[in-house]
Amino acid sequence: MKQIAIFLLTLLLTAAMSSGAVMPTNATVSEVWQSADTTTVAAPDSLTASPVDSAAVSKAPVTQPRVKRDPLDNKRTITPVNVRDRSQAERERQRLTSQLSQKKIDRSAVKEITTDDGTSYFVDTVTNVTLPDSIADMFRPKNLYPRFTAVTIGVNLWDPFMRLLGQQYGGIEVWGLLSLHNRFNPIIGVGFSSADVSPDESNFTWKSKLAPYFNLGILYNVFYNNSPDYQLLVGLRYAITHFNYEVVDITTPPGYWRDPSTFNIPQCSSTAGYIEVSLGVKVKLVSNLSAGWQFKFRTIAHESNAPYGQPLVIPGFGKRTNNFGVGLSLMYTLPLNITPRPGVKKDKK
Amino acid sequence: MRLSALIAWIAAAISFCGVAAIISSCNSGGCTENQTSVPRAGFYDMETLRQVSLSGVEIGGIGAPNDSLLATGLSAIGEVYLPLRANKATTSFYFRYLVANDSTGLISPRDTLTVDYTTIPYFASEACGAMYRYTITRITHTSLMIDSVALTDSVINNLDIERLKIFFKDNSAGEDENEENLFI
Repeated sequence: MKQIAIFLLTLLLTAAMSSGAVMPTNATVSEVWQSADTTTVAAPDSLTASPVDSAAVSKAPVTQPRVKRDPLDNKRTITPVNVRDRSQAERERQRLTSQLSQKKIDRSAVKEITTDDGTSYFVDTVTNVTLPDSIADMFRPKNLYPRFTAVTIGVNLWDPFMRLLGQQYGGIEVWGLLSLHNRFNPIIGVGFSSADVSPDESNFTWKSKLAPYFNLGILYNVFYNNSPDYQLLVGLRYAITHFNYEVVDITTPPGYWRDPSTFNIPQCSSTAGYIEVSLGVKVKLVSNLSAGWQFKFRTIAHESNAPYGQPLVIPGFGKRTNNFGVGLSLMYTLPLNITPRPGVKKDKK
Repeated sequence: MRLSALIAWIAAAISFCGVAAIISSCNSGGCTENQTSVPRAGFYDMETLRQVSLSGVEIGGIGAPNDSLLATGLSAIGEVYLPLRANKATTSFYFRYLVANDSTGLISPRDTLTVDYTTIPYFASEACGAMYRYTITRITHTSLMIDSVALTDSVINNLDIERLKIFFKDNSAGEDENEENLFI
C-alpha cells in the first residue's frame, strides 16, 4: 500500500513537471568579452608554395602525409604551430605564454572564431595571432554565472508523506541555500522530528519527543554552466541533534522462574552527529517553483554513551539500522543575478 | 514537450519510485541473538582443563516453581543455561549427582552455586527488543564435585556467549568402585 502511494505521488509530480519542463540544454557560451573592432588578418607570406623538382619526383617518389588545411592559414601573419614539429609547438607556446604574462596580448582583443565544422579558434585581433589550445583554455570562462546567482528555500516533504502512510517517526525539514556561480551551493537546514514506534511482534514502545536537528553542508551542481532550472546536485552535509527518548510498556515472558515482568527504561538524552552524502536533481515546475528528489547515504559520526542501549531513531537520520534515505523537496528560487555574463559575438566561418 | 523527453521523465520518476520503495522497506532483519539475557555455563575437567560432558547430573534452580529442572541428568550435557531472576539480586542453582547409594546411605549428593548480580533494563535493538541486563558481582559454590568457577565476562547480555566455566573434580583417581564417573 505504501509503495502504491509513493508511485502515484511521483507520477502526479512527474505530470506537473512534464507540462512545463524541457530537457536541459547545453547552453555553452563562448561570448565572454565585449566585442572588439574586427581586424582583417593579412595573408602570410611564409606560406607561398615552393616549386617542385619534377626530376627529383620521378626518381624517388616520396609520399607526403596529408595535412588538413587550416581555414585561417591565408589570414595568418605568422607561421602557425606545426603539429609535426613538437619543439616548434613548445617554443610557440612559451612565446605566447610569455607575451600573455607580460600583458602583451590584450584580452579584450581576443575573439573566438568558429568554422563551419564546429572548430573554434581564439584569435588576437590586434596581432593576428591564433592562440593555441593551451593558451586559449585560459580565456575560456570557468563559471558563466555571477557569484551570487540565486537563493533557494525548500521543504522536505518525504517524512510527512511517509507519516501519512503509517511511518511512526519523522518530521519536517526546511532548508535554504545560496547559489554561487550556479555551481557551489552552501546549504543550511533545520528540522523537527519525533517518534512513537511499536514494531509488530515486539515487546516495547519506543518514544522520543519532538526534537530539532540542524545540518550544514554544500551541494555541487554538476551542470553549472547550464540553465539553473535543471540541476544535478551532489551533496555533503553534517547534521547534529539533541533529543530525549524512553522505552515503555516493556513486557518479558514468565520464563523458567515464572516471573512476569512489565517495566520501563527511564528517560534518556542523547546527542548525535552524522554525515550525509546525497545525489539529487532539481527541476523547474513553473515560474520560481521547483521540485527535486534526492538519494542519501548517512552514517553516524558520533553519539552519546547510552547505558540503557542506543536510541532506535535519531531525528533527521531515521532508524539507526537504515543508512539510506530519500528526500522529496519543494523549492522556491529567488534569482539574484541569473543572466550569464555577456561576451563577444560569435563569428561563424 | 517532446515525447521522448516525456518518456524519459516518466521513466526517471518510476525508477525513483522503485528505489524509494526499496529504501523505505529496508530493515535489519530478525534478531540474530537471544531475546533475553541468560548466562551460559560450560563444564570443564579441573585436571585437563578441557570441556567435558556430564552425565547423571540433575540441575535446577533453588525455589523454582514446581521444582522444574534445567537438566534432567538422563543424557550427557556439556553446558547449561542458568537464567537469573530479574526481580531478585541473587539466584541459586543445585547440581544433584545421581549416583547409587553407597554404604553410608548418602543419596544423590549435590553442590550449590549462588550468583549475586545487579540488574538494569536495556534496549538491545528493534528486532531483539528490550530486556534486563545483569552484571555479576559475586559467585559462591560448594565443593563436593565443583572445584572452581571462572567468570569470563561479568556483563550478561543477550549475546549467546559462554560466560561461566565450571570446573569439576575428576573422581576417577582412587575412587570407590561403586561410584560412577561423572565425566563421559
